[in-house]
Amino acid sequence: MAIARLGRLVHAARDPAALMDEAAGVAAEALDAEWTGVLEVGERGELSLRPSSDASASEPAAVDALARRALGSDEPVVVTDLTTDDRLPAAGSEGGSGVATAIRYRGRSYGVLAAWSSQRTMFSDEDARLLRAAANVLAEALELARSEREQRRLGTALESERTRLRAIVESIPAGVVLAEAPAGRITVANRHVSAILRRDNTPHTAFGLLKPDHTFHPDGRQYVGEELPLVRSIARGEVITGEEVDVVLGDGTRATLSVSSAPVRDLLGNIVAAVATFFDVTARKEAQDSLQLHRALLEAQGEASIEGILVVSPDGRIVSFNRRFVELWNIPEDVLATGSDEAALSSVTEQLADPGGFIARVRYLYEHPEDSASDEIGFRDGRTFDRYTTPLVGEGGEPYGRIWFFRDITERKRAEERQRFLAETSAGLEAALDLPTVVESVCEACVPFLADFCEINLVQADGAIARLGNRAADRAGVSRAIEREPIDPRGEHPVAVAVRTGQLRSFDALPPAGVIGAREREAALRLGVRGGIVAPLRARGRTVGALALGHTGAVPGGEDVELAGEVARRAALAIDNVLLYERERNVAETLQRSLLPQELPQPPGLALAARYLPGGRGIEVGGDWYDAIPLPDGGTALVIGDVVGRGLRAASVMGHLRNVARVYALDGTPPARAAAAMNRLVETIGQGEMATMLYAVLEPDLTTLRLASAGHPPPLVVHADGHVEYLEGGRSLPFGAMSHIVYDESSSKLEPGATLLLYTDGLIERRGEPLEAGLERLAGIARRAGDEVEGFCDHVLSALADGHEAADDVALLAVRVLPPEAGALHLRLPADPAALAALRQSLVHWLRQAHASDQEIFEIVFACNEAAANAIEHAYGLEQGSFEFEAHMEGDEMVACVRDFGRWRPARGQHRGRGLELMDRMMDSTEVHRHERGTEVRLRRRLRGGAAR
Amino acid sequence: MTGQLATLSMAESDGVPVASVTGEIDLTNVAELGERIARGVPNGALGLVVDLERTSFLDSAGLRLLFQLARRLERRGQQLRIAVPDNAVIRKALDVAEVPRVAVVNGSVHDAVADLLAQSAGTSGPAPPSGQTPKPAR
Repeated sequence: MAIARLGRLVHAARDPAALMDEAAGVAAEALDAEWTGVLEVGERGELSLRPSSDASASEPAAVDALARRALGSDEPVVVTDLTTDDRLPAAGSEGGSGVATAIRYRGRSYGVLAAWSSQRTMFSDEDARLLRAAANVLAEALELARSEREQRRLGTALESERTRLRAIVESIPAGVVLAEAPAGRITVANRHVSAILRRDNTPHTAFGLLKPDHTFHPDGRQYVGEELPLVRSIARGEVITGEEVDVVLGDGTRATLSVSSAPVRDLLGNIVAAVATFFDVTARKEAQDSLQLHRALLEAQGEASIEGILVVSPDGRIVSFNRRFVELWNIPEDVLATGSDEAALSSVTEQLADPGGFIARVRYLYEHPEDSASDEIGFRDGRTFDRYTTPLVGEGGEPYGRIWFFRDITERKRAEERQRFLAETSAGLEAALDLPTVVESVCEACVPFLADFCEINLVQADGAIARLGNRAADRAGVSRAIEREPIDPRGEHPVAVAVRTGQLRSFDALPPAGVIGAREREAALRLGVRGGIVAPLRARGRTVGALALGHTGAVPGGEDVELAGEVARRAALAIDNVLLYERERNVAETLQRSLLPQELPQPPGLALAARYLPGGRGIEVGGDWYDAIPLPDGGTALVIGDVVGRGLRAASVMGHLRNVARVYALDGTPPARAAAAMNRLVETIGQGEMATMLYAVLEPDLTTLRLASAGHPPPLVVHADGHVEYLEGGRSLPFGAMSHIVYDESSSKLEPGATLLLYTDGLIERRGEPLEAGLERLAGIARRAGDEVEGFCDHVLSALADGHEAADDVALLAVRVLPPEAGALHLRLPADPAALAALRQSLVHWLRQAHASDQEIFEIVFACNEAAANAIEHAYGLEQGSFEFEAHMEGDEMVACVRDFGRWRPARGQHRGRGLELMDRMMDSTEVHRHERGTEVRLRRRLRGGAAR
Repeated sequence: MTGQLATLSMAESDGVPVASVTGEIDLTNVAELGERIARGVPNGALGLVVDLERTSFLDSAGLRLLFQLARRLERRGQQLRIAVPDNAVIRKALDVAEVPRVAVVNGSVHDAVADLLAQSAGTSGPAPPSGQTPKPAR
């Protein structure tokens, strides 16, 4: 109960002292102790009893030792007899019992909560637990209070710019207030305000500054609220200069003030505040020379300022300056002694980065005595000063001088630049997805901001160190790469050392030849490199390489080293990310490739080529696939498809469909029936999958193309005569669109020289463009894509890409029907006598192209037919047996080759033997080769063409 | 497919059955052709003329059919005559296979029928080969 009350109390109270007193009170109540108290831990760890509000209670002598004991312990300490307990070496004569527990929050000790009783064995373990609970609540509250104080302190630090403003305001020899819009709350007021107004406190609002009922116009009329100068500036943006106001001062006397007021606007022009300056003009008669007054003023508080202050009279005389001014500008004593601002100016211009601009600015300000200005001055040595100047306005409002404030903001500027540099470097690296970009980003960021030479070295998988792109800026600022030798990873080259040790090192001299290569050293010397920094590139616990920086000017300082370390850390992370990204992408591509044919079949008479381009920059695999399957009857099945979606799910569905398509193909299932069955398969996979597919079979005659399309883009035919045609037939719904889809088969004709192109929609789709435009573009490109099928694919891809990065995966499969005149005749035929007619037909066609005479054609066809019949017999009984026929010309000699894959059997019976004999007699030569895998019969016959007719 | 490769038409010329094969003869259709041709020869006929004038191709099985027909007819005392123009491309196959050893090869159906009728009027024995000698193997 008591603890709960304490809990409620600590939520209300934030003052540590009150909290501690409250805790002690609660403990006293709960424990029935004669004395309870809190001992605080001091800065040096000493314990001191909080002064008790109850003066009558005196600290029991043993409490100190008890508290010290508790502070060293994790558990509350219960002492039943304070006189005898040997844990308390300093135990006093005073007896009784005690309990104490440390007030600790996450290892930070605030003090000890202790209770005492004059009787022995007064406290039980239960009491100890209670006390500890109170201490825990207290510790939490104290921690909260401490963190709040810490935040306040940080908040104060952020106010430093306001402090600076106040310093300036204080330097102005007039009352100055800044009042925020719209309420007119005064946030800045200098010490002259209360002095001029003769009040004890600075007023809080614009109304309080000059109270309407104490403020009068020169004619005696009383001001109303809206007429007050600050209020007018805030409300209406009015600029008021030297308005004379009669006021009743704090001490009841009357005075005339000259008030100026102007609004402060933000970038959008909204009034955010108003500034008013005022001074007592009643006393003008009695005033000393104003300059003298201000000089005294400045001298009084100027010496301690972190700002250099200079006061110059309108005639260019130095009226006053402080020590800091001399230090900042390093102006010789004798120049100062002349008292001439001109002399002082000319003594400093040498140091400036832009002396002309500086002098011009000073001249301008002297010509415009009413202007205030704030700007930055750059020095040749890299320092930057902040300059603020404002006129000193004398009696009657006329300027009688100018005050200058200078502040060295080099550190702040550099810190800002470093922050910006790191931010820009990070931004550049974040976008980088490949090594060259990372290297380029780092080099670009580092040279010349951080170094004059920059190189990135990467540890390869085999431990070798690769020196990637480097950049050097010579003194003229021209970037170029330097020549250098490879680095021995086991050698003493600083990069190798950094990679091995993971330590950053800076060098104030070039390492000697031998440690670094001779050419590298020579190049570095030519650049003027005098030292540098080598920082290991460490990310996720491993060293991926090293960043090497070279400096031509000053030896790198602590800040450069720190910055180099930061850059290296960011670069390492970026490099590691890139490596990771590439690894993952490789995995995805490997997976994708494993699902695509390793190599395409090359059926006789056809040339096939395929391409697969992963789309976009993602690492997820797509669901596009293609396949080409030689069929037992000598035909070729061509399949292309696209599973909607990406990732492993799409890839797995794709894998299924590809395998099933193969099975149907080898089974001789007609395209339309295969498509219908595959749609049902997609349905059973049953997760709302969608896929498109085109399934085509090119018959053994290499002419008839039968196809069915499940919502797939139409295949394109580039005919031998160059005209292009989309095969729109046989198209129905995609897989997964409905549970039962009827697919139609359409039949088309290809001729020798025609190229058939199957593709997925990624090839033709472009964002924000109708599909028709893509089809039209493809047709135009394919028409000019050439005869050679590999080149055809390359041309189509590159011409269509045309700078557009494909968002989707692209798969394409191109099939060209080779024209007979292109050379050889290739046929792969089923081991079925019915195939003989097809063979004869193709061969006759081919021989005509070869200008064989009719007689020659018959004799060759006769012989080849015999050889083929023999091959069919060999393959007899073999499942899905087939044989190959090939014919080509060697000069004027026709060479035909019949290959089977069955066991060689001796000719059965007289007739078969007779057939082979006839075959032999038709040819110039006949060779029979028997291999392990089958038999090859090679026939030769010289063609005489029409001469033999 | 058999029907597509070759068509067979059976006719009669002066009482002599004439079997005309248009198209190609190979393994796949030879058995059926042989059967139909054999059925088209009445027992009382003098013989048979196989007309290969419009036969674009025949393989060794086709040649074998000619030997089989010749043998079959011979057993029945009938003669086989083959009509094929001298310049026909398939003529080479007949010569190489030495078909003229078992059947007279005439240049046309007309010649074949006339020759057959003239022969049977003269002698009743099998006709000697019509002067064609096999070409030597190339």
